[in-house]
Amino acid sequence: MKKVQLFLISTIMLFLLAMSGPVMAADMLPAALKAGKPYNGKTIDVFLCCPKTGQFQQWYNFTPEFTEMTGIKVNYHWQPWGNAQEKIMTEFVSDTGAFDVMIYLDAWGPGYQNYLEPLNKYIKRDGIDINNWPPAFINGAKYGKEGNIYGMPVRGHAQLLFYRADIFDKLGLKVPKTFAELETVSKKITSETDLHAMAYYYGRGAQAQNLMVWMTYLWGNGGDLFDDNWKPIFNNARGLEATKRYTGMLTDLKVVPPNAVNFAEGEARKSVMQGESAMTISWWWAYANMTDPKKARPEVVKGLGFAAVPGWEGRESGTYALSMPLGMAANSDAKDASWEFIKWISNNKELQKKIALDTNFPNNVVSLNEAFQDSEINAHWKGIQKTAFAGLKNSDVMPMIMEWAEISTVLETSINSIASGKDVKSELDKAAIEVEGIMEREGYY
Amino acid sequence: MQSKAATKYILILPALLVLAATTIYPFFSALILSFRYWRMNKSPVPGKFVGFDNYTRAFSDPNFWNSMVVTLRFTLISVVLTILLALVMAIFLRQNNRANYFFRTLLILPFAMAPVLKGFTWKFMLNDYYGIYDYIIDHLLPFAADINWLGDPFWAQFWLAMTEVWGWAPYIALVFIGALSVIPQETLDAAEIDGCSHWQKIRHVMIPQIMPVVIIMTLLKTIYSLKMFDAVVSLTGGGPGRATETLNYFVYKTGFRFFDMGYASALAWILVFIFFIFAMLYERTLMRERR
Repeated sequence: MKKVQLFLISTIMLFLLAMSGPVMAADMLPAALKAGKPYNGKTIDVFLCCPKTGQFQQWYNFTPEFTEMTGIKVNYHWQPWGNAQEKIMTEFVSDTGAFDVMIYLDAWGPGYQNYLEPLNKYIKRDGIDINNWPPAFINGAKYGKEGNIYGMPVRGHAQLLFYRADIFDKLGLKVPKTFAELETVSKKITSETDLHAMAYYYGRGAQAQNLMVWMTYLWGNGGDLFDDNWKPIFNNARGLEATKRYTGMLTDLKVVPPNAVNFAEGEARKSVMQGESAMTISWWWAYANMTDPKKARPEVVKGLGFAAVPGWEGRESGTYALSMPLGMAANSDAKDASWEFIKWISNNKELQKKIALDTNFPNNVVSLNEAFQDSEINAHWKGIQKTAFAGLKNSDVMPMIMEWAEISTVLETSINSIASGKDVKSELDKAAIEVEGIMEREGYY
Repeated sequence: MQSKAATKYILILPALLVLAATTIYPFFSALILSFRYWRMNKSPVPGKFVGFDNYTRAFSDPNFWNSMVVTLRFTLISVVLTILLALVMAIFLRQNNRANYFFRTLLILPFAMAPVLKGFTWKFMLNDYYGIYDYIIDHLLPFAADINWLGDPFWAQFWLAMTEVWGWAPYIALVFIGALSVIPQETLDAAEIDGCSHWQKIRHVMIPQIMPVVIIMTLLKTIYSLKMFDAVVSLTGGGPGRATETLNYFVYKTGFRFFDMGYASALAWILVFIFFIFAMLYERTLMRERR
C-alpha cells in the first residue's frame, strides 16, 4: 500500500511539474499575449507604409518570434508614404477586407474612425494600462464623441532641435533655449560660416509638414488653431506674431536656405546631413538617419547634437507631437488574432529595446514610457529618448477632427504663400475665412 | 452576311467589356456622384441627392477659379511654346541626311519618359545647390542667381510649362517633319524661282501647307495640357501657395485627400465638359482635313 501511495503521489507531482511548464511559459509571454496559442493557424494581413523605415523592417524581421509564440502568421503589405492615406481609405470604402491591421498617421485617424475597430474593450479585457504611453500619443489615437481609442501607439515622435555641435563649439555658441536665442545664434552662424543657420521647411504638398514647426511657434506663444466654439483664432495677435517669427527666419533674417520655400521635412534634414545647414527642428527619429555614416557627411555624423526645441521667451515650451497608431479594421475577420499582433508590437518593451539596440537597422524610436526611460537604450543613443520624453510632457497633437485634411491643406498653402513673400496678415485672414467656411459647411456652427 | 457582322461584334466584345468596366462605368458613375453628397471619411456609401449643389459650390469656390486660371495660363504657355519650338526643330531637321536621322531618333526620348519622372528630374535640375540648370543659368545670367525657381509663383508656373514643352515639342516636331516631307517639291522650286528667301519659303509656302497638321496638333496638345497632373505632383506639389494647382490636381486633392467625392466628381465633370469642347473642335478639324 505504501508503495502504491508513493507511486500515486510521485505521479501526481510529476504531472503537476509537467503542467507547470506551460503555465510558467504563459506567465512569461510578453505583451500580455494569450498563452496556449488560441489563434493558432490564423493569418492576418498587416499594412505598413514606408518600407525603408528601420523600425518597420525590424517588426518584419522579428515576426517569426511572434508566430512561434502565438501560431499566428503575418502577411505584410508595404506602401510608400505618399500614397498610404489613399490606399487605406480605398480599401476601407471598397470593403475588400484586404488588411486586418494597419498603421496610419494620427491626423488621418478621425477620417478612419467609421472603419476602425474601437480597441477599448480589448484594452480593458487584457488589463492594459494606457498610461504606459505618453498622453500625446494616446490623444493621437482617440477620436469621436465617445473618445474611443482606435489605435495603439507604436511609433511616436517628439520634436527636437538638431544642431552641429562642432560649429557651435567653434563659434563659442550655447544651445538656444528660446526663439530669441535661436535667432541670435542663427545670425552669427550665417555671418561667420558658409552654412545656412536653420533648415526649416515651408513647402506644401507633403502632408502639411510645414505646419509642424509652425504649431510649435503658435502654441509656444500661447496661440491656438481654434477657440472652444471651433472658430479659427490662428490669425489673432498671437498667431500673427508666431507666424511672422516662424517665416521671418527665411524672409527677414535670411538664415534659412532660400530653397526652404519648397522643402519638405526630409529635404531640410538632408540640408543638415549634406553640411549645408547647421540646424533643423525635426522628429527625434531623424537622429538615427542623420548620423548614419552611409547617408550623412562625416563631420555631421560626428558633430550632430540634439536638444529640446526652443520655447517662447517667458512661456513654457510646448511642441507638436506626432504618432502613428496601429489600428484594426472593423471588417477584419481575425480580430482577436489582430489584437494579439497589435499588443506584441505596442505593449512590448523588450521588443522595442531589441529593435532600438540593433545596429543593423539604426532606429531610436520607442513608444512605451518604460522604453523612453530605459538606461541601456539611452546609453546607446546618447540620451535622446530621455530628451524626447521630457519634450513630450508639454506636447500636443493636431485637432483630431475629420475635416483636418482639408483644413491642414488651407493652412499649409497659407504658410507656403507667406514663405514665398506674401503678406502674413492677409494670408492668415484669408485662411481663417476659408477654414471657418469649411467648419460651417460641415455643421460645426 | 449577317453572320459576318455578328462575328465582328463578337470579336470586339471582350475589348468593349473591358472598356465599359474601366472607362464607361466610372465615367457615368462619377456623373451620378456629382449630384450627391459623399464624404468617404463619413460614410462608405454615397449620401443623399443634392441636385446641382456641388456644381454651384464649384462656381462660388475661389480655389476652383484659381485652378481654372492656373490651368488655362499653363495651357496657353505650354501649347504656344511647344508648337513654336516643334516647328523650329522640324524645319531644321527636315532635310534627309545622316545627322538629321540621328537627331530625329533622339527626339522621341523625352516623350518616352514618364511624366512624373520629368517632374522629379526637373526638380533636381533646378535645385539651388546641385541643380545643373540652376548652375548654368547662374553663370550665364548672374542677375538671375538669386531667383528661387520653384519658390517664386511666376517661375514655378514657367518651369512647370517647360517640363511639358521639353516632353512634347520633340514628339510634335516629328509629326511636323512628316508633314513637311509631303509638301510637293514643285511648290518649293517655284518659290525659289520666284526669288523667295529661305525665310519667305518657310513662312509663305511650308507653314501654310502644313497648317492643318499644326492646328490638329495644337488642339491635341491643348487637350493634354488641360489635364496636367503628374508634373504638378512631382515638381511643385501645387505650390508655391496655389500658383501651380491645376484643375486636375485640385480634383485629386478634393477626392483623395479630403475624401469629398461628390464635390470632386462635379469638378471632374466640369473638366470633362471643357475637354468635350476641345475634343469636338479636334474631331471637326480632323474630319474636315480628311474630306
